[in-house]
Amino acid sequence: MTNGALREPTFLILTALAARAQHGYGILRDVEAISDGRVRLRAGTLYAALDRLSADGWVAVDREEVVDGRLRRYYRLTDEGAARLEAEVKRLRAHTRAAEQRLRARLIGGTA
Amino acid sequence: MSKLERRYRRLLACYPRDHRERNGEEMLGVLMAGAGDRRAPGWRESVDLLWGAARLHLRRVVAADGGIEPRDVLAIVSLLGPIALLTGATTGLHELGWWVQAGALSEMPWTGQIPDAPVWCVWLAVAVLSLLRLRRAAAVGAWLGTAGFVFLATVFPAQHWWTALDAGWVLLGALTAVALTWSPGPTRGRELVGGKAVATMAATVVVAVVLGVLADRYAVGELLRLVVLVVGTVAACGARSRIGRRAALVLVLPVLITWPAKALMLSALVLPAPVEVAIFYGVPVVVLLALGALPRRVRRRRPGGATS
Repeated sequence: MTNGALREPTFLILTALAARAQHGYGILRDVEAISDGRVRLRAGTLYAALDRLSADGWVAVDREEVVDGRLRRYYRLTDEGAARLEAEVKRLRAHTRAAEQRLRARLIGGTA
Repeated sequence: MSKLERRYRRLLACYPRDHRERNGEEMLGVLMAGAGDRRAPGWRESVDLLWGAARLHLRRVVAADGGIEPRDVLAIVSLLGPIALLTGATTGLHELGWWVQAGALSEMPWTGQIPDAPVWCVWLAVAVLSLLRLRRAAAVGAWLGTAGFVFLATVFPAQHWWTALDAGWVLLGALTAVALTWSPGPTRGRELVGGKAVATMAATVVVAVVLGVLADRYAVGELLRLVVLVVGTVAACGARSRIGRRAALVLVLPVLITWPAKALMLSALVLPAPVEVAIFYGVPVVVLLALGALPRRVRRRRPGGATS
């Protein structure tokens, strides 16, 4: 498992799968909602990411359904993926806390 | 099938076969669901799909897709490579056979006729060490054998065509040395292909060498020798497994380049040594990497799991 920072699409895909299993189109819509419309993933990017995340063992296929004659596959976050996402959240939280402290100090002490 | 679906399918055809089999219909469903009223894929979407396909191909080239364990491929090469490599001794054995037939073996100038004999003895020792599962000793021997090829190319450049006709053996030697050094080794290789694979590979080499010694002047004999090598190697590695096929490709490709090299010799076209090296060493390596990722025909998966 790599300890480097996750790229934003990866972070958002893992976040979309954190609470429940979702199918491909559901992940695309959820990523857009989580990022407040700022990140709009496309199918090519999503499936390249899912291929990598599956190989890393962070994401796994949960179940398959056929809806309107089309295959719909649901993906879920694995325990390993959840641990990686949690580690990333802690890292980002530490950075955010440090940034907040510095900004507060800036306001108190005036601009440099 | 609508025009939009047909265009999406055309774009999805650029993806690696295994990915299309697993995710093709699912991706099509996602694309159609997000298409809205569109009649054709947008250019951003097309670029995204092509870029996604390129990334997946690249991952398969370096075997990072998880579908194949490159160390397992190398493990098979570490077991069967040293045996396969002994086929390269055919030229020397043919020379030896000539002198034996002439009844003048004691008069044969060894260093002039078969200067590569010590190197092939080293490779025979590597094959034995590999079969005894002594990976480290075999790896040291393999690097020594590869260095021996380089030495021969430098000291006896006219004896063999190390930059062209015999380049395959040098390349296979280097690949075998890499496999013995950076793989779990022959023990893992034997687990993957079984003991019969060693017997199959050894029998293939014996038949190929005999054909090479007895029928080296006949094109049919040479062709038959090549067929025996390819079929025997594929059978030994296991044609039914992806790892086996990849290992067979590693072992066979260097042998196949002897044919364009022969054609080059017959055409009497003289190429500068760096160009020959680029062709006979560079091209097989590039092909080896590329063949793992070329788009191929796909068994279409129907909703519900059936394939057609």
